[in-house]
Amino acid sequence: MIRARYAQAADIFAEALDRPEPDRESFIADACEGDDELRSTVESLLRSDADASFLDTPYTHYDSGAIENIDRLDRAVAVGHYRVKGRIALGGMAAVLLAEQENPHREVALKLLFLDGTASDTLTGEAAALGRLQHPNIARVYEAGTATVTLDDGDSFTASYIAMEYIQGVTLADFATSKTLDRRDVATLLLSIAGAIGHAHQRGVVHRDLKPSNILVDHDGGPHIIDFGVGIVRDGNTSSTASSLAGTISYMAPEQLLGQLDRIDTRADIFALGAIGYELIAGKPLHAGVEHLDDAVMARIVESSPAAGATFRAQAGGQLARVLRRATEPSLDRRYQSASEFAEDLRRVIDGRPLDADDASAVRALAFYARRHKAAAGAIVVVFVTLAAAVAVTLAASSATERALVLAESSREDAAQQALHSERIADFLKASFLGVDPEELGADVTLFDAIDYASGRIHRDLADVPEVEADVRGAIGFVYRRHGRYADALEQIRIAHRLHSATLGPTHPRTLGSAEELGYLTWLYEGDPEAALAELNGVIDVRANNPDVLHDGLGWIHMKVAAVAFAIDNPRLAAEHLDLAQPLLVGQYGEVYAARTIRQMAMVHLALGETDEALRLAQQALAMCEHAAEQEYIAERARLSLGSILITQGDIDEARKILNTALIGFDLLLGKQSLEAAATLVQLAWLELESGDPAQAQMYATRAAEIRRSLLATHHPEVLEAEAVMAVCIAATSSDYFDTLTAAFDTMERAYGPDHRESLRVLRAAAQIANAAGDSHSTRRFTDSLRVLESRRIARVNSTNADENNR
Amino acid sequence: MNPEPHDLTVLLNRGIAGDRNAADQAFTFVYDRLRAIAAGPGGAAKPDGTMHATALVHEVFAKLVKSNAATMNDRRHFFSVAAKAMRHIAIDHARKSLSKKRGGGAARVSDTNLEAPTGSDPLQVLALDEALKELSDLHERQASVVELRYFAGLSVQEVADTLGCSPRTVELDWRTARAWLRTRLGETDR
Repeated sequence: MIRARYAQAADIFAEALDRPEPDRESFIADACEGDDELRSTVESLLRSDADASFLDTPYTHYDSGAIENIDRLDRAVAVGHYRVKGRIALGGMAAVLLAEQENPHREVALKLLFLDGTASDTLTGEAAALGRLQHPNIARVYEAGTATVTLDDGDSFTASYIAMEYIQGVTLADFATSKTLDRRDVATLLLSIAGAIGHAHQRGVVHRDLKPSNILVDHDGGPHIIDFGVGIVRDGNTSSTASSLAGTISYMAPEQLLGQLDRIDTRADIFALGAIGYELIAGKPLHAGVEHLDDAVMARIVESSPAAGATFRAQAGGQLARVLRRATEPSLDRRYQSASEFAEDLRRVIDGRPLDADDASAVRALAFYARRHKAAAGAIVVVFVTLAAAVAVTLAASSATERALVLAESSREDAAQQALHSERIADFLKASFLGVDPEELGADVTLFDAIDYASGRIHRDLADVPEVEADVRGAIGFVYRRHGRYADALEQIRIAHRLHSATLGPTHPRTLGSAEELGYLTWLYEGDPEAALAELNGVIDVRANNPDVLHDGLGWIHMKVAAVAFAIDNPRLAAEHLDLAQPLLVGQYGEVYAARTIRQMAMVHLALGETDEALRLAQQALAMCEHAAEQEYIAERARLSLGSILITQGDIDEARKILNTALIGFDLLLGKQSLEAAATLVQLAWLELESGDPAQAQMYATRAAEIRRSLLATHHPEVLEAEAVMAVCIAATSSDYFDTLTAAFDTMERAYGPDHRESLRVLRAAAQIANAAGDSHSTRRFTDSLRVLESRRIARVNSTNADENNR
Repeated sequence: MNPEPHDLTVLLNRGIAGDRNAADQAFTFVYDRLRAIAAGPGGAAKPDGTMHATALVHEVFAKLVKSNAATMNDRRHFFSVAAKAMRHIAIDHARKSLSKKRGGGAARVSDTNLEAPTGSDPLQVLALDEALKELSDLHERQASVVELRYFAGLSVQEVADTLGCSPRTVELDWRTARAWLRTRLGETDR
């Protein structure tokens, strides 16, 4: 078959697949135009396609020699001087038999290995080292060697073996699923294993492959480590997670995952122990959900331990969580340096003794810390003030509205109770920042260490005062959001909202406050506009029905609705809410706050195709806040808008200058990884595409995609958008541009829908690229779609306006 | 001399730039590592004895290419090299297991293979390899898609990233190639 023939058949086959089955035959007949050979080729392809199982599973293989011998093991009656009594487990390169020894009389677990000569030498050497280990929580190795395996029919072959103590029990993995283990149980189990590991470490043996399936729990609940570095894994009822990537990598320390062989030492075993502890508490492996070890995942693994998460702290309790966090620290220096150190802290957890000054007198400890860590003390104070301010701001923001409510209804909270709450918050904050010990975490403790630590303690410390817990969580959520940690923010706000709702009722100003935050975060992190708008509109409605509630803060809600509406390409709805927001913001904060609504309004005009008005408004917004105090952020936003508008107007050089200024501004204000920077990078990518530098454009788009992937949910439309822009950049230099562009548009369609302004922008770029390639056929296909979708968009934009008015 | 993980990136990049020697070195290195890890303790060889391509390739990638130094390009080239290496391993393995079965001196293969799970059939692997060679003359990209999906166990998205085309293209290539290979292998059976 020649290439052209094949391509012809493949094309018809592909098109036939798109058609419903009954239509295929006639389609193929038409498409083959009487060419019977072609027709029979296509038909046989379709027949073969029906066999869905073909190549369905990626390639796997077995060591055939091992299979042959393992298979015959069922009939083994003796191995050397051991009498075989049964089979315990079967693995790919090893099998474990239950056998009996005459002298001394005992039952042993015999591991048979199917390795070549050199490997079995290594094995004997290792077994000798293991033979020196004597610990109640390590399965004893009696001897190792090479022996003849005799089968029931007298046939025989040679295999290497290790004779080990036979332990009747189940793997820790199975034990954990069959029993409910509380924190104390987990700490006790870990303590036993840590003792055994410490014993091995002292004798120079590092396990390196510690995991729940390598630990057997006997009938008295005592754990026993098996398989010291000899690479045999038991089979049996291994849980489904064990075969997943997460089940493989969760017990590997980052230095193992990175293959930094020279850094792998006893501390890798401590990491594995910590990971096992995490799994026993959380009910899932440390890296659950990881399917690919890509850059983003590796960066996350190296950055921090999942045991630092707030949810885990709630599950494990503050003390055990801290111990497991330290055991699973990615940084070798911050991890427990020895098994005994780890064991010591586990003992403290079991005995309920304080781990350190965290549980001691707060104020005295503060002074103590300040003396010991002069440099770090500054950071601590910053942390404290930030947290305190965040709580104060949240409380203050609602206090005016609350006062109004209190006047309208009757007072529910008397002064004494208010004071009590303030006291609890102050206590909590003190304890929180004292827990962030620079001695433990290094002098570079950050704001996040304190907040992470605080969020982990909230439930333990404030469970008896749910209103306070809700306020603190609300404040912490707010701080997380302002720093771009949307996932953490959402987690805190969800709980805050639930608690507010339960304790104060659904229409209480503070409940409304957390509902507003929840709605906005739903958009920011999940990218779900319907849910966000429903939540925000709900808040607006409740407020409208409570005329006694003052209107401060209402401006921000309208701004949030406008932002979401603009993002889903509903510019008229956005305009409507901006008009409502402006007088409210100006009334509450002063004239300069109008810059915010004006800037957003500029974008609305851009979306409506009124670029001159857009330009005028963006320049006005920038002029208003460029030199105003504390308006740097909104000034950069105005620059970003101005830059986007200038691109549309074709003023590439000016746009480039302004966008670069904005990018530097965002980096300075928000750090290198902000969503605002990502948005600027996307605009810069479009700009460079326009200016004919697709390579530079691709660089910008890639950076934008990386930032968005690290901050947002994977299905977030902005993540998809950045990926689509990346694809467009790639297509601009590729001969495979048609498929790539089609895929880019498909991605946009998934992100925003086909007739969203940004989807159309991709389509417009596609037409340009095809045109530049001299491909009139593809160009026409793209421009045709563009025409249809553009008119659909115009109709939609205008009709949503009408719907909105009818509502 | 085995290159360090960091050098691998360099080798891959030089290979892409047209340095045949560097490309060969990178291939040999990845090939050796894949084999060693598949066979070694705690490697991607699973408790049931299977060697799963997906886990293996990703594990090796994680070990060889430092995450902070790995760009999209590194991953792209690593995966194509790894897929080729896996294909070689598969063929070697298939040949070996066939010759073992033919060699009478070795242990008999039991007929009652009750619990032994089935890996990929060595005969089919060899036939697939031949058919793939033919396919790559007819449509090179489709053959690459099969190599990446079947031998390296990559997902559609990863294949798309590796080949620099859309997932839709990969999906379509995969389906066409699979149908063609199935037809081709069916012919050989008869």
